[in-house]
Amino acid sequence: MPLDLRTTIFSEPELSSALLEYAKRNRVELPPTRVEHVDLVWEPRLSVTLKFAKDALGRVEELKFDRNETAAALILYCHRFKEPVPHHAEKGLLPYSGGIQLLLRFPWGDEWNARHPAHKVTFPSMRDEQD
Amino acid sequence: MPTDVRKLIFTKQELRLAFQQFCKDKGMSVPHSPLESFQVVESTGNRVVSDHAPEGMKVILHYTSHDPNNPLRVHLTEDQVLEALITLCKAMNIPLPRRGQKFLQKHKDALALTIGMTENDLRAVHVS
Repeated sequence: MPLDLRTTIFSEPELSSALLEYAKRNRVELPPTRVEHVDLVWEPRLSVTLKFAKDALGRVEELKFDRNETAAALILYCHRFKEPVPHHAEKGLLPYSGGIQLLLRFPWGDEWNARHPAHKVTFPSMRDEQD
Repeated sequence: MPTDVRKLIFTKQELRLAFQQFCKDKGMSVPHSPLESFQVVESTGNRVVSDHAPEGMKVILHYTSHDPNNPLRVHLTEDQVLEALITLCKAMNIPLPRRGQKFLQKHKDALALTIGMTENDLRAVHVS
């Protein structure tokens, strides 16, 4: 079976929008101001911080999301656009200039793909990213 | 709307199978000798295509020949290669979108089928 990979690229505004939607869905109380900055940290593990604009009292609030929450938010965001994200696909997150990329690998039929010579080249960190 | 790119990477063995089946299905006149190897080249010359030059690609099938001065070769155009790979995916029950821009890329010593889906493509998939 061929190695079947899909990359979905999200810009920072899209990432921000996905995380806000995820937070609302999980009944997280959001600051009344808009998101001013999206801060992505990749080492040692991915975390995304949404930094909100100052409120009337001059306070700056932040919301932090870990890797799993970020992945869940992006998958929900894909659902919004009716982009299929099959549950059986192996998933990973990687940096992308000006945003983030969600990687999917479709295990058609068997475990053969994981041993494919191109797998580690195309998905350098996916194995390490798995829980 | 996120950008969506899908890439299917085939091994040389899978490509060989796809090309052989394609030639058979299309009733192409190919030598009876075994397919020895194949080469991915640009259509404008004999230079092996680079990793980032997907346009104008073609494949030359090399069949075993008893006469070194008379090599047995069959040329496949980029469209034929695309069709061969899509047919192989169908045979393997790998779903591919009808829409989306499909093109070939050289991947190491094999080939990848890349499918780019725009916002319109994604919307059309769900409307149709």
